[in-house]
Amino acid sequence: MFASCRVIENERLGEGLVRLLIDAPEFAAQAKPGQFAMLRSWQEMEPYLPRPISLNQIDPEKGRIGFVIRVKGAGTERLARCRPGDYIQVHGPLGNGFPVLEHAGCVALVGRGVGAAPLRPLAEAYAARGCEIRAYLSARSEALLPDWDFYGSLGAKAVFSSDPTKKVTQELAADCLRMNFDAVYSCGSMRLAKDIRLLQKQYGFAAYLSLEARMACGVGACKGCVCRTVSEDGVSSYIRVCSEGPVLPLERIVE
Amino acid sequence: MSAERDLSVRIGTLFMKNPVMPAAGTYDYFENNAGLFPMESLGAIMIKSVHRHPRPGNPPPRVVEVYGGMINAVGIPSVGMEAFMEREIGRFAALNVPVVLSISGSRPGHYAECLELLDNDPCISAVEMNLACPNIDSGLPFSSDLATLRYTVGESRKATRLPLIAKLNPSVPDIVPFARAAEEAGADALTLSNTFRAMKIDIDRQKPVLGSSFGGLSGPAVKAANLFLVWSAFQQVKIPIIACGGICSWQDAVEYMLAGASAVQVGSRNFSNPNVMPEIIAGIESYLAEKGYAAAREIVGLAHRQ
Ligand SMILES: Cc1cc2nc3c(=O)[nH]c(=O)nc-3n(C[C@H](O)[C@H](O)[C@H](O)COP(=O)(O)OP(=O)(O)OC[C@H]3O[C@@H](n4cnc5c(N)ncnc54)[C@H](O)[C@@H]3O)c2cc1C
Ligand SMILES: Cc1cc2nc3c(=O)[nH]c(=O)nc-3n(C[C@H](O)[C@H](O)[C@H](O)COP(=O)(O)O)c2cc1C
Ligand code: FES
Repeated sequence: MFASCRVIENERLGEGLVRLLIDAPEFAAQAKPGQFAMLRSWQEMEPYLPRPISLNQIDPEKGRIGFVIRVKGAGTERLARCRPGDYIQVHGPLGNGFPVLEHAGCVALVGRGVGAAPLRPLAEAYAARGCEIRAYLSARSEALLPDWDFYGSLGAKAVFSSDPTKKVTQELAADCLRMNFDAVYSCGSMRLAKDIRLLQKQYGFAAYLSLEARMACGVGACKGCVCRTVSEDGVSSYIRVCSEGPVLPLERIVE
Repeated sequence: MSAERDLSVRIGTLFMKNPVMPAAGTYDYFENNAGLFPMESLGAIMIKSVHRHPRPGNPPPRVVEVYGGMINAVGIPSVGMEAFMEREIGRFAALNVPVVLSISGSRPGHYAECLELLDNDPCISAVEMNLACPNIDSGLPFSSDLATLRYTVGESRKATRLPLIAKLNPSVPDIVPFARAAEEAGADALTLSNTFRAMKIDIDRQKPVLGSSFGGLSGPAVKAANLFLVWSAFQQVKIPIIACGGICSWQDAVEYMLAGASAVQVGSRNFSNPNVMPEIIAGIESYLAEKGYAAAREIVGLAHRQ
């Protein structure tokens, strides 16, 4: 879908961090956790390209989609400035999304800062299935982490660290000793992904990573957003993060 | 409403119902293009450059935004011509729109080899030669050296009956001799032009941003410079010119047509407005209606009138 959508709400979450809610019934009806949209809230030619932003809320009943935006440069600055009633150009839902395992009893979600944004709809999908959820979240400060309260309200157990010397993957490692995770999901941080890969080799859970890359088209046409991957038979190749990802089995990214 | 305008363009045996098509590597028929419009409404569709031999493409990052556009260093990832013929070309059979295939190579002989393998396949209506990719022997684009350009286009001419479009590199001191050389060697049309060599440096990391250090600039930033290339070539060659570079609106397309372009290609603007090509077709049509022209070809080169 490519359409102009009305902004319903712009909620300031913290310094340079906002949540945008848009009215997009058709989009919300198709969207899956882990997918993203290419957004543009300006008419001028500058900045030239749209910006990839993950879906943070998918509400097919109200026909709404939510994004959490961390101001980084000119594009995110413009997006964060949108007011209710403004229209933004939305292309999506794009990408493959997180696989939701039918019979999972317990899953872990690992995210850092705004990188944790796509985990929220995934948590909701698992909560609706009665699956036990553990969230391991980190950020430089609590104000830079979206959805901290939300995990509690879902009944998920969540740990948070803002201490750079204390990685949340240490907590995950401790929990692995006594819990049986069916799957571990993470996004944003390669550092965390490497730790999870080590645990995966030890405990054998399924693991998925959502990748980020510089994008132009978002739909697989420009071949601009590649990441090197390894296939099951050890063959190394580039995949397009936008159309073959952004979510990939962790073992294809980290050896 | 007045009678419909005739927007059609003919390049050898390639007949397009209107002058608008995507630029190579920016719009893929089989990817999700938002389902906004039937692709049959375009003048033609374009298959991203298929290289003579398989290539992985450049290391990431491959794209970076800059003021006025973007730089890409995608580096033509390709399955290679043999695999394309075996596995992919069949998908383009019986589409209700002409299909242009872009080909590329690393040595002058590679283009003719691609065309021999293509063997005038009926799925393809015309071939665009991407002559801006580097020749392994010199490191320079095929179309920045007159002798190489003549040889590459000449050998290709012998290898196919399909209309041949030579897409030239803009970074040359004067486009005219190159445009003429391509025409004399047998090209049926010119695409002017490919991206302008460019780069960006990250001042914190103190390194080039792109994985391959430099790439090609496209977008609004190149339009004024590229318009001059179309203008200059139009005065000196007889074959049709397809303009490509910074076309973001119907006004840009009309400007290029007035400078001498018979058709236009839209590249990176598809990324921020996937609906831009039909908007451009509609805009050209209204412009013709408003100014009282019956056919698009009437405005080609009009700005050269004394
Ligand atoms: C699949 C995906 C999902 C994302 N989800 C979110 C999200 O939910 N919330 C959020 O705040 N951010 C998200 N990002 C990152 C966000 O796209 C970038 O921060 C944003 O593009 C930066 O644009 P800018 O104009 O503010 O910054 P600038 O630095 O001025 O951008 C310049 C160029 O670089 C690109 N770029 C810069 N940083 C990144 C990056 N980290 N990833 C990809 N492209 C980048 C921009 O798109 C632009 O083309 C996501 C990125 C991807 C690929
Ligand atoms: C991501 C990207 C990939 C491209 N790939 C090719 C290609 O495979 N072959 C080619 O001849 N040109 C390629 N080009 C160049 C475009 O076809 C076009 O010449 C250029 O983008 C200028 O047009 P624009 O200003 O409208 O973008 C590519 C451009 C971009 C941005
Ligand atoms: S952003 Fe164009 S292929 Fe992924």
